[in-house]
Amino acid sequence: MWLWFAKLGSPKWFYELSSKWLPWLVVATVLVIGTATVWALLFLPPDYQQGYTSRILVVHVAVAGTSLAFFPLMAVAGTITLVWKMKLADMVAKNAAALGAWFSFITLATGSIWGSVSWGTWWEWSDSRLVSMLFQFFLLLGVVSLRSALEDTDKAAKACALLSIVGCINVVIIKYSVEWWNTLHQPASPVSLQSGSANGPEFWIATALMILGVYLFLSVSLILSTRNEILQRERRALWVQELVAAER
Amino acid sequence: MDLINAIQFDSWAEFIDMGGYAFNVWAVYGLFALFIAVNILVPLRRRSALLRDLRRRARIDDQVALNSAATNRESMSGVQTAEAESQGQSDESVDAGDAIETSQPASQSASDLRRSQQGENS
Repeated sequence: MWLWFAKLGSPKWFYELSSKWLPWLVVATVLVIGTATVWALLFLPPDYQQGYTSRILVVHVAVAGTSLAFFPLMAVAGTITLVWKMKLADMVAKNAAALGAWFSFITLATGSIWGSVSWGTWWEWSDSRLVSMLFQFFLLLGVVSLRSALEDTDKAAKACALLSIVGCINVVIIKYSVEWWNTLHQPASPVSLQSGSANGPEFWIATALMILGVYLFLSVSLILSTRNEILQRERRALWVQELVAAER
Repeated sequence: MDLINAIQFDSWAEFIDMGGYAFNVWAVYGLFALFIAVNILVPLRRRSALLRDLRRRARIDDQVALNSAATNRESMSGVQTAEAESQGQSDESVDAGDAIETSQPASQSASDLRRSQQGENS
């Protein structure tokens, strides 16, 4: 068990395994996101209230839901960093913060574009969902800048790990904000079997497919940047030098 | 075909128009595409830059090993040439930066030479 754990944390092991998996992940990502996009843009029936703007929600819900995964992911990686000092966990956490900021930004932007039609406003400061998502965006930017502000890699890793664990509170707030405070943003629609509504089967199957695609894209992007981080931090290791020599 | 009939639009113009919400729908899907492209292409570009940098470092390391091997051999055999001295100098400047690269001959043979030298030594 411990041997397996130590192996899992080895950058070399991760690099070699991801080399094998990456092409398949990319193929799956392209297929799933492609199918979900074509489905959403061509086949989704217009909602009886929202018309074709309900198509925005396929993207918005998928990106927003996935953006909530970042703090828990970074908190788990941070705990592993703090307890076992596993190098790989910190490399993943570092790149997750920047990607998570992107996810939060796209969530806010797509939500805003949808709201400008459906709510008649681009932004509403009194809405708890909107403001807590904005807070997550700033928190993630905070983690990124905390990392770049601290020169010592170990210190930066510890500080970011702590902030990531504390930041998880905000995920809970985002998740339940629509139930605790009832303002503008609607709660998640219950899955409905009635065709033609915004939460009918066509819609939620397309959304579920898009969520899967966005998670696949997340893993591809995170694996790519983690591999870069490994090359950067392990550049003195023999296996990296051999790898560089082989690609010469 | 059923699939064709299931398409919600009768013409391209209708598809582009999105029931009057062309700006909103296409802005969101455009942003989404941009978001994916950026977060795939930036790591890929960084990878090629990193590999380029690591290759350059490997070349410098090869050259350093070559130089110090040459210096050692010549000082052991008691031959002190001006060439050996100049190599000794470039040896010291290695840590300072990349200036050494410009003073290198063709880099291709660095590792080959080192290998042949190791063969001589053993």
